[in-house]
Amino acid sequence: MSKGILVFAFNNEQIDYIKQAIDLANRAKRYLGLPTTLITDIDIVNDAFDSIIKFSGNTYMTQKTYRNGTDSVKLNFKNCARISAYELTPYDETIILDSDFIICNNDFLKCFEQDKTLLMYHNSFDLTGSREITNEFKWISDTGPKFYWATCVYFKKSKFAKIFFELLEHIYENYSYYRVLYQLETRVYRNDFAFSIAAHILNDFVSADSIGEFPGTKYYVTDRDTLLELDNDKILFLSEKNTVVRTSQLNVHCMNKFSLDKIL
Amino acid sequence: MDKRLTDALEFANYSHTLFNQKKLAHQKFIDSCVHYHNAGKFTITQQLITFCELNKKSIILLDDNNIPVHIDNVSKFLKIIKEKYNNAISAYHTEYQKITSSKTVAGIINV
Repeated sequence: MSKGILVFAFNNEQIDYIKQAIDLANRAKRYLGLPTTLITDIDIVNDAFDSIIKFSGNTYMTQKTYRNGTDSVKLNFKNCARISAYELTPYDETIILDSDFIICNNDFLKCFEQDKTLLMYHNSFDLTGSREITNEFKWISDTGPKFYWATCVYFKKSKFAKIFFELLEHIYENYSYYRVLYQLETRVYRNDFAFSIAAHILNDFVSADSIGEFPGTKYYVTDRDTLLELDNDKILFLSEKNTVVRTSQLNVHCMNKFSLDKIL
Repeated sequence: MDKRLTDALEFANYSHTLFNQKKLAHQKFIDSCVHYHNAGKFTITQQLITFCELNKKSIILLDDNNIPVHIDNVSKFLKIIKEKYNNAISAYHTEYQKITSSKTVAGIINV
């Protein structure tokens, strides 16, 4: 069974997602011993990747607010290719990762030691510990189902995973309907919401266990926090409340693309 | 700024950093205690170790997802989980000592 990482990187005016993806691929090789396939919309050659697939499908562009600590700017954002992951992946077992994930240990390998064909994170851990606990990353809306992170997804080629990704395409094509049905506040298509809705439907609209919990804990900092130092597996962050946090050997989702871009 | 307030804010910052790093170290310990066996997910606890010590023959354990998993070689399973637990708690202990013995924010984050 072939195994590997799938990363999507579509650069915009200011963010070099491909640079992040190269670092991710190098770390995947070092910590996990896994190859990485890049999905992008430009011509590129780089040894960090096992293969590079130029995405020719719909790269619908939307606008998103990117924060860098206290600053913010609206930039273009292409995020709809992820729903095609099942068709695009060259691997039998795939881990989809956001390019802004910093791999610092081999926890992700535990995906291959269990039986579920689809794993996603529901629980997550705010590294700064300085924000009020909100429902933002617990439920997709006040009356909605569980929030699942689309930033880190494991799937094995299987009937179930195929149904899941086909359902995602359906949700994407009918997003305006699902947005109203699930009472989502934002009009912009968001993968986390689409994946959460698909999980809810496949769990027969209740909390069944079709989707497994991704191994380990999803540690994150938001785009209001800043990445200060990155030294192999040691990372230093400054929170929006001006407190510092140091991590060692933890995989971290660093949502501040500007500070990640600066450090890499 | 009033020195009394400066001192209080400095201490609050230290206190928050200490609390947060301790919480992080504990979460890391819990993550390190997870072991997969026969496609079952087990969080290694002292209770699990003791139960396996008392049942050296083939047993069925309930994993974290409430799935019954057959353990055919309990001795081997026990050896692995004990080693994993000891490594995890040893690392946690070392990190905890370093964090709590530091009296400044700089000391804590240099762990």
